[in-house]
Amino acid sequence: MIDKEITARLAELSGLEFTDSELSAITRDMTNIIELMDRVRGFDAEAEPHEPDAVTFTELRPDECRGSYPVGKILENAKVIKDDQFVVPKVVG
Amino acid sequence: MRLSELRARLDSGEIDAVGLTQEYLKRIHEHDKALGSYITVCERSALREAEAAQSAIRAGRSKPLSGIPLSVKDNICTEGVRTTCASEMLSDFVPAYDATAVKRLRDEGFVMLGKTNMDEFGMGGSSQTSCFGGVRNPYDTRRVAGGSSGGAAAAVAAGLCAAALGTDTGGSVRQPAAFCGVTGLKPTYGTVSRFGLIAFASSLDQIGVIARCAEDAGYVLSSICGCDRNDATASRLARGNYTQLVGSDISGLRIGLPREFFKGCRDEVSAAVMRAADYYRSIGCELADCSLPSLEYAVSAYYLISSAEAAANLSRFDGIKYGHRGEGDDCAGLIKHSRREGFGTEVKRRIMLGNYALSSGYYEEYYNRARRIQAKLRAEYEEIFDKCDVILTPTAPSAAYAIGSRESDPVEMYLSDICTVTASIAGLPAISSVCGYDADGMPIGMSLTGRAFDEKTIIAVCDRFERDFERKENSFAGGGLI
Repeated sequence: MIDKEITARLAELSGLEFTDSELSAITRDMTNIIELMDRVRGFDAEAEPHEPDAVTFTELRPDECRGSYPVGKILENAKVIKDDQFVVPKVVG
Repeated sequence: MRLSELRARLDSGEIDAVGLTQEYLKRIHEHDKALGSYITVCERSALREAEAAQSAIRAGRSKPLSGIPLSVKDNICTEGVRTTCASEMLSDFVPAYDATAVKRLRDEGFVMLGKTNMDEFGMGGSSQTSCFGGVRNPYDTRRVAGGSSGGAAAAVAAGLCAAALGTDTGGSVRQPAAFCGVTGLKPTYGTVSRFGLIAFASSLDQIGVIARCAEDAGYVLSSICGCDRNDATASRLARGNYTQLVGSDISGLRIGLPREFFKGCRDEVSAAVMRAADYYRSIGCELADCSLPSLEYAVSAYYLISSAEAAANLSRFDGIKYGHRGEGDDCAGLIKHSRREGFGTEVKRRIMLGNYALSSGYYEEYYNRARRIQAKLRAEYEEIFDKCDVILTPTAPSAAYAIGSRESDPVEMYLSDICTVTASIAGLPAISSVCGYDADGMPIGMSLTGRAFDEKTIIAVCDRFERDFERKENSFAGGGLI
């Protein structure tokens, strides 16, 4: 059962925030969506011998130092920069 | 006109690359307001590319795609050309590099007409969640073009590009191709490098091709496939000429029809696909009833796996290094406001679902169970491919529907993916092509799924049907050259 408290907690985990009415709406959506996801409970995982496959990595390149992209180009998409660094509000204190 | 024929006419001088590009750009200006298939049209650079291609052609240095005008879905990075994922989050993002698939096309001298519209971050089946406005179907502009590669499909169908790169995570090349009456190929996972594809679900995403026919899809795929030092999942097994088997005798081929795919489809859809099956029988193929019993769990498993991966992949959008930046007194506030303002509703739903599936207490019940279902589906496909060479199914349970009639109900939208998600979950190649039209004249799609890395076979089998099937053009498609 998905309630607003769970949705609010999920929003926190997801780095999202909602107004109260948005939270009500997305709680309704999530309730219906989880009801669909609950279909997987009908699958007997214990009786199923197949283990999930890992994604196959076919080409691991040598661990060698190479040049990267020009700093200026990378910074072009940032909104606030200073001295070749990304500026953020204070994280601590 | 097929791409191979276009190639021949460009090389012989019968057609000029610049003139060809100008014709496509003219058509985009005339028709795309009604369709919304492009987000960015690259008029000046396209003409420069066409001129460069024409010089190469004149000098006898043409490559398969030299001078051929294509479009690129807007979640594939293109250096210097904004790449938005149809999201406010990236509305002014300009990549510093080309995706490998784009680089390989550039190495052949293709012409990039522009970046096509889509569902935001590839999440959707209608191309209506774009922050730039939705895409309309060329067969009936009151209907959706499908998604998430709806812009690519609409552009190909309306003759606004010769072919298109799209992306497919759970059906997003195949379903819009079916809705728009063209051909869409999702390759085996690992066939095309994902470097430069803005990630949605990394274990499922594949760049695919939307084209006017199967041969053209194979033609483009041959240029973009193969291993890549920037993508450890891109396989050495992906190489070669994917049109190699086109025109070969396919009598004796064994075609499986998994009965579960036909339940829940509109009668018109099932009937059209069965007529395609009858066609294949008439040319000497063997039809076989088969079963994919775990199909009933497939949609749920797909959404759990893809959303879990999406929640992780989209956590990089925090407003700091790129993308939309909201205001915030502290870092946490800045991140929340950036994401609140930058993401649309469906994207937020999927992120929440993904984090739900991965959270403590639910991980085993949902995510891990979904992965076991994935393993089971792969095993069931292997059993089918012991007895069959390809599998024939509908691409979608219905044809394209009216804009606004379904998109507000996420569960109904998710269930519409029932025919496409299993090939994605299993990592197998699948191609969609038109096999009929419903009572309203809307295209109906069939899908052919093949063994891993056997795109050549499904392309050849699809091509065989297409050559004898009479397609109905939409009112936007031009005659003559394109």
